Amino acid sequence: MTEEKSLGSILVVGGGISGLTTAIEAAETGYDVYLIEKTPSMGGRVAQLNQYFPKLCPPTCGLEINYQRIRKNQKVKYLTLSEVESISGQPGDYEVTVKVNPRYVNENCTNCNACTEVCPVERPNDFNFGMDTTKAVYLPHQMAFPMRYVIDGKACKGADCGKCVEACKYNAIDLNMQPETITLKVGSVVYATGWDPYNPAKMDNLGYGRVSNVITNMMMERYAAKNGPTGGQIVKPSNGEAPQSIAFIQCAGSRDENHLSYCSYICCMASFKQATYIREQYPDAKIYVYYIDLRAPGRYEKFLNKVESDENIEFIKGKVARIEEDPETGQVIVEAEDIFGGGKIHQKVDLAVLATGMQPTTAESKLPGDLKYDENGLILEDESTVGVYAAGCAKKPADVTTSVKDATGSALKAIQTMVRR
Amino acid sequence: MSEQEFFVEPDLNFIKDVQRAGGGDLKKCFQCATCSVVCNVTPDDSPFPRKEMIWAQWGQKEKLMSDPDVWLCHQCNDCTANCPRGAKPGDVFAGIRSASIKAFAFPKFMGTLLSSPGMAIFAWAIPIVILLIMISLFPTIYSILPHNLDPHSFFGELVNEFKVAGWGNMPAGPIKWTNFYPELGIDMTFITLLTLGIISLAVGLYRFWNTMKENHGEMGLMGAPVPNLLAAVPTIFAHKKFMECDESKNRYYGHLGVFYGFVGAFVTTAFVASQFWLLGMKTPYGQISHVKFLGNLSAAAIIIGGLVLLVQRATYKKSVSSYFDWTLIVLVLGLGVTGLGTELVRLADLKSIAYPTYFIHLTFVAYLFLYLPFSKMAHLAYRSVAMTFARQAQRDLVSAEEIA
Repeated sequence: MTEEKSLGSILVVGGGISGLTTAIEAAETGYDVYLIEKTPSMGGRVAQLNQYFPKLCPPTCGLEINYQRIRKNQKVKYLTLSEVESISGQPGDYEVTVKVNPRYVNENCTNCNACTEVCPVERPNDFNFGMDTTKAVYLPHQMAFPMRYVIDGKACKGADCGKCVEACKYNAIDLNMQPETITLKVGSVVYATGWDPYNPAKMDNLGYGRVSNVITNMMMERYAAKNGPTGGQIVKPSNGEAPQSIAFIQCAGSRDENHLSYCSYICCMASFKQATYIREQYPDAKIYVYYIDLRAPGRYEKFLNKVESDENIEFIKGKVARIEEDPETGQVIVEAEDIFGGGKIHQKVDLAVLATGMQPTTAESKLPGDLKYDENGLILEDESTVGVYAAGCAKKPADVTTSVKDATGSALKAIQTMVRR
Repeated sequence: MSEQEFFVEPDLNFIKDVQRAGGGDLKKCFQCATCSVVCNVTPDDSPFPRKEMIWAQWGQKEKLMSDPDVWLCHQCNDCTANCPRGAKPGDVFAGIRSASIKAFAFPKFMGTLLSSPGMAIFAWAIPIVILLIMISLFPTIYSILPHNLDPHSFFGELVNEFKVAGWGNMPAGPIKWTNFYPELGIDMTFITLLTLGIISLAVGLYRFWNTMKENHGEMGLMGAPVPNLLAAVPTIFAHKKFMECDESKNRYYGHLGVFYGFVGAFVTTAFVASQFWLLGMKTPYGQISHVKFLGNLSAAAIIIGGLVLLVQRATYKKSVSSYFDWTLIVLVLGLGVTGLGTELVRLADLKSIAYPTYFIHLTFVAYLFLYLPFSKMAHLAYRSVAMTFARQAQRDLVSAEEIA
């Protein structure tokens, strides 16, 4: 069998929209790509959205196209539940060790769900921000790639229980799987390690965790999504009822040197988009958007104009700096100064949505390899950056469109490293 | 939004004054209004400090100087702690107040003298020189005074004090303060200084009141100033506003100590003076007298309160303290320590340092009196006047009960 001589290999770390794009764009130019993802499925944060910009399509459309391209391309080798442990060598010639954590479910899995039906253990569903639970053996989400079940090793009772092993007709479950370490030889590395929603509990004045009907914008996406914890119904977490008034709290943690000192770029548009979710479900609901500045970059301004012309949506210039629960009605009291109106307001609403920002996953733990970070943990690149790159929200907060373009650029840089070797 | 045209005429020097006096980060403000929300002492209607922050950035001197809100602020620093930009509204307000005291100052140059760290040496030299001149004038004063009085009579003794007074009695003889600075000399010096201080303070406050009134707009004032001032007194004496602070709670105790220390010292002085002039009772009183007790207690309150404020300022890193702030702390602690020290050196009979200690104490008192309208000490008067005005404008009502 003759084998095409390899042009070289690129490692892409992170299977979100940026990592998927970098991987497939590089592979389609003929390079070998390893795509590794920490969680059991590709898709990243985009998979959690209900709709996304610019066309407000469900995430299935963008993700599915990329999954297809990867499936059809022999040059992309992907690994889930995997993390980079170390990188050595120099541009063009790196040796990377990757830890592959056990999935306990092999490729025999047909997604028949028999294991889940018999599993006795429930775990909080992190895909839905803990708003519901899954069994210890579960399908990561409806758009999982690879489409295969996984066992949460921490929640699973192990061989003592073994009910799933008995229930599986395809010998797909192996509770004795062990972590492995593999070594990859690559010419360049692209980190597309993405972002986490900023932890709302860090802003004690905004009441998250203390006031029951305060949620985050990402929780709102899960509520609104058909595959979310409520089947797409936006409700008050306290009692599951429909909210009649909703406040969006912009810059919840962003543009704040006590939290994230930068603008997270997407939260304004996310709130406008979510206002449209609410308008569709509850045409009579009153919506209040509290903001410092409304940031609708580029052509998004049209969307802002549309939302602004809606008479049920009120925009109030003034940051909410205090949120309390009304002990009598259980409503949320949001407090702000209405800068144009000239007074402090104590608005009672049924539901408050914190427009929390994007924090790079590298804020807390740094990655192997020669990388520079800014004070917020965002990866810095400059002219001297060679060999190990970053793509998408690991570098700066961005929307999907921008991330995808940046990912394509990062694929080119990764290729350049090897050509110039 | 207002469609009115608004021509901004920034007063750049006022911006610089505010920046120098603690508001160095004022331009970092991006008007999010977090500060107005977290402030516990602002009224809900046109709250502060957000609006003053943009006025300060734009150098709106007149707006700021005529704004009672600047003085309703008690610098809790809740705003500073929560500010997402590190603009430190609490310190900016302190800076606006210093700059206002400077701008209201009469005569003008005194405002500059007291607000410039570079002139501190002159500011301290003036009271020292005044006291030294007075001491050197004692023989002259003695020669002018009538000498035909019975030397053992009340006035005869007062006159004779000038004959022996001054540095010449050091360190010989028993420690007797009138041997250094005669009773009549004390009254002449300090009543004059205090009178000067009060006159210029009155001019400053008059200017302040008028500018507040002119810029108040169409909303009328309710009632007359005096009843509103009296109505504000319980709030001031109880330090009610300080109690509403979250961020710097222990400042309440420090300020309370210093405040009541000064009240006590004032009562003591007034009592001793009236006893002297009405009943001919001379000092020192016995150690067990009520007046003595009050005086000692006041000194202790000033020192302990001053130390609390000192430690609070030195350890609270989110906020900066200006020359204006430190000078007042030095003055407060200096008054307390040298006041108590004067008593102690007499009781311990430390002849060599007795009169120098007393002299330093007199310097602090002279500084306090002469600079009453120009140092941070003036905040007592400006804040009281602002609270009075705010009440008249129905702005600074203490609580919902009081409104009802």
